Amino acid sequence: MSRLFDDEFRAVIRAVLERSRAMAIAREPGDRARHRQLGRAGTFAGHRAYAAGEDPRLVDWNAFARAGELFVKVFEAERRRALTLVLDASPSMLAGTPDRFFGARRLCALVGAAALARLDALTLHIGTDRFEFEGLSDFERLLTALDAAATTTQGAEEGLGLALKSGVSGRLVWLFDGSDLVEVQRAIRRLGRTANRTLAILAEIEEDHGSPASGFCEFRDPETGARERILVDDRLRDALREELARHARRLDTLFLQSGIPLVRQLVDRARDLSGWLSGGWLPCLR
Amino acid sequence: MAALPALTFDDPARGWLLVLVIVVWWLARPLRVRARILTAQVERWRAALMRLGRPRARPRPLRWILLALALGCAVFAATGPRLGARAGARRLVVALDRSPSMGATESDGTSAYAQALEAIRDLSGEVSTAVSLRVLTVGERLAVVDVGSPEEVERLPQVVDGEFGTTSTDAARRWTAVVDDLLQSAGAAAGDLAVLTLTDARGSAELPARGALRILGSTRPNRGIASATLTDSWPSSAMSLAVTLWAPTDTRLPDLVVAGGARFEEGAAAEASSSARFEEGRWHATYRLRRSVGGTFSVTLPRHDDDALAVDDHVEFAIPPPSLGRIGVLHPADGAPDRDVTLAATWLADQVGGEVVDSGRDPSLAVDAVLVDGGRLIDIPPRAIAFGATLPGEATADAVATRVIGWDRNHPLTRGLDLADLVLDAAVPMRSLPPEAKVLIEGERGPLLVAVESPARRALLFAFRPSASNLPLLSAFPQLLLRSVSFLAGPGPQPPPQTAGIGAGECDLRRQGPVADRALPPLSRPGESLAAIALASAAMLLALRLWV
Repeated sequence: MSRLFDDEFRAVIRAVLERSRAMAIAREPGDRARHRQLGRAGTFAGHRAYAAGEDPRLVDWNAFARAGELFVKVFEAERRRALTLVLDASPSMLAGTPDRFFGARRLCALVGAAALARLDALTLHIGTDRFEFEGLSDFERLLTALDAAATTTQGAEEGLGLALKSGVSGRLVWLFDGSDLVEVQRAIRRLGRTANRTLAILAEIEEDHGSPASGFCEFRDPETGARERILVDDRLRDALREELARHARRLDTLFLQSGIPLVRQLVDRARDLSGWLSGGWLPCLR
Repeated sequence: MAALPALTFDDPARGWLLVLVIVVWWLARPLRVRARILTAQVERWRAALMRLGRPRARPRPLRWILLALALGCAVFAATGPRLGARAGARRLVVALDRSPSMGATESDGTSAYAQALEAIRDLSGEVSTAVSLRVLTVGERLAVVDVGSPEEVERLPQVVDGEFGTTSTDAARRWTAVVDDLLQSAGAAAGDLAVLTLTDARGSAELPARGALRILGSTRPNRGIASATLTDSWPSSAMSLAVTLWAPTDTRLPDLVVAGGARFEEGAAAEASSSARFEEGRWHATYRLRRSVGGTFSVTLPRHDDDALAVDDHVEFAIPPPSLGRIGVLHPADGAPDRDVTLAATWLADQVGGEVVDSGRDPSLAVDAVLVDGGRLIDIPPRAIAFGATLPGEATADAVATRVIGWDRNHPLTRGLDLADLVLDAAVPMRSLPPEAKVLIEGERGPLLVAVESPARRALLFAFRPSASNLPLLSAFPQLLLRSVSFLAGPGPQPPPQTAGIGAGECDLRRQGPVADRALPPLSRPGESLAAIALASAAMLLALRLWV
């Protein structure tokens, strides 16, 4: 039993799934039947690189014979409802206690569970890893993948780029920490046309709004390795709060200018999962 | 391959100050971190610090390293580092021969002593500040003078005791003892002390067997008074002068010139010349002298071409004045003094080196003693010999016939005298004698000779005049007069024999054999001080630390 998805969390997830089923989310007639007939067939859309772990039957052997590399045929999933979930696995996600990555993976599980319950397919990108899930039967596999996930040395923008390169099915949900404005700006630029079906979820923790630290403390950025030893007092904490608010405003401005909806979700309060469901990320499941 | 210059320290114990580096390191340690926090907001923390205008607490190991290096340089300077120092004696004692022979004139007009001072002057300029230079003058008495500069060397002759060349001690005899004592000291054993002997090595000097040695001067001819011993017979004027003259080339006794308060007796020079003896370059002779006025008495050997040393050509003595410098003769105003009394006075004056004056004609003349011929004494003079004078308080009476019945055979004046043949015609009575009077000759009618001896007066009172007796014809008379000289002079201290001269060993300016110089051992050299460089480095490091 992992600490990330313990029994208590699983119970909450189940409750959340029960509630989500009861939620009135309109479906078009014939969705179920079409869902069944869709699959691997459809309008050929192109090729993409084969990823480790994928079904070998998906490999286009003719392309392999021509190019000598493994490719997978990509079919246009007409009206196929899918969700691509990209989790930022940069080292900065390790900040916080418990770390931001911990809460972000739980949020991923929540979003993924809802997606598996309501949508046709779910693709999960964590760093360089890519996972595909279909239906609630893959729920445990989803949790296993999240549980095994670890941060990488890649930055947020780089991880997002890898996901975009391997193809995005349906809507794109990007979970990130937003600590580096320059990196976020570059990531938005890289989204390109995908931006109009992207939802950005900022996985927030308490320290994004202020710090309870006091006395002589050493602060270290797990991504850049930067260290700072600071004698923290009330005035400095107030100044920090102002700086954090200013940073948040700049981040909002960035997403506002790009047209990408930004949802802030506090993720370091594991018990308040019901609050997570009331977040602004639900529209991505339609 | 040349050896690297050695690094030494004046005060290496101060190296313990390097502990301060640890103390400074301990004081410079940052505050203890209360919490280490992983955060993605480091940039926001920095911005908050900037907003408040607070400096970032950046650890600056370079600043600490520069401070430690500066402190290390300062401690290094405090230890007195020196580069190129040489171990060796740090005390140099120059044993300077101040014997009279050092003053002998060399062929170039200088002297060995002047050459020695020049050598010391050179040494004071050559030795480093790490070496203390002292001059130990070995003359009549030892003297130690610190010499730190050539200027102090110039003052050396004034600083040391007395004028050079006036000593009469054969200082050369002390060399071995003085230098050996120095070289057996702990400092010399540890190599900390070096001794350099500067001497002329002339005559019979024994040279130190150890230590550095520098021989000055050269073999020179000389003649001089090696020693002179004056024996004084005060209160008598007779004196005796025994001289030893260094004159190895003279075939006869050199002539001496005396001046001052004494003179040669008649024929004394010829007598001395005939009895002189010559031994190993020295003439030994004895002169008879007679005191004239006393005071300074000098003996001089006239200069000669073969005479390099002037100090041994002249000796001086201080002799007391005549015990009875002026003897007055007092007699009745109506006549001349008795011939015998006058002769006695003259003879006395000749014995003591004095003169005779006629107090009867000029009573105002001050005299040391008076011979009274008859008459009446108002008071007994302090020093007097009275013949047939009526004593104070005595009734005037005619002289009466009498004869000797005995005399004091124990008194110094009459001991051993034969007065049995003394015959006299008449004698005045002497009944009013002072209590301190002592009868020396007893007559049939009373005392015939009385000695009055008290702190206030010393007098011999004869009850008869010489012309009224056969006393002048007796052999006891001159003896009695001679003894009266000592009696009248009183019990003064007998002058001991006086000796002057520099000794034959000093007069002899030849060398007994070949002698060679011995070099000085290595002296300590402090090397170049690195303290200033170290301090400058410390200052530069501190300045750099401000900039870093």
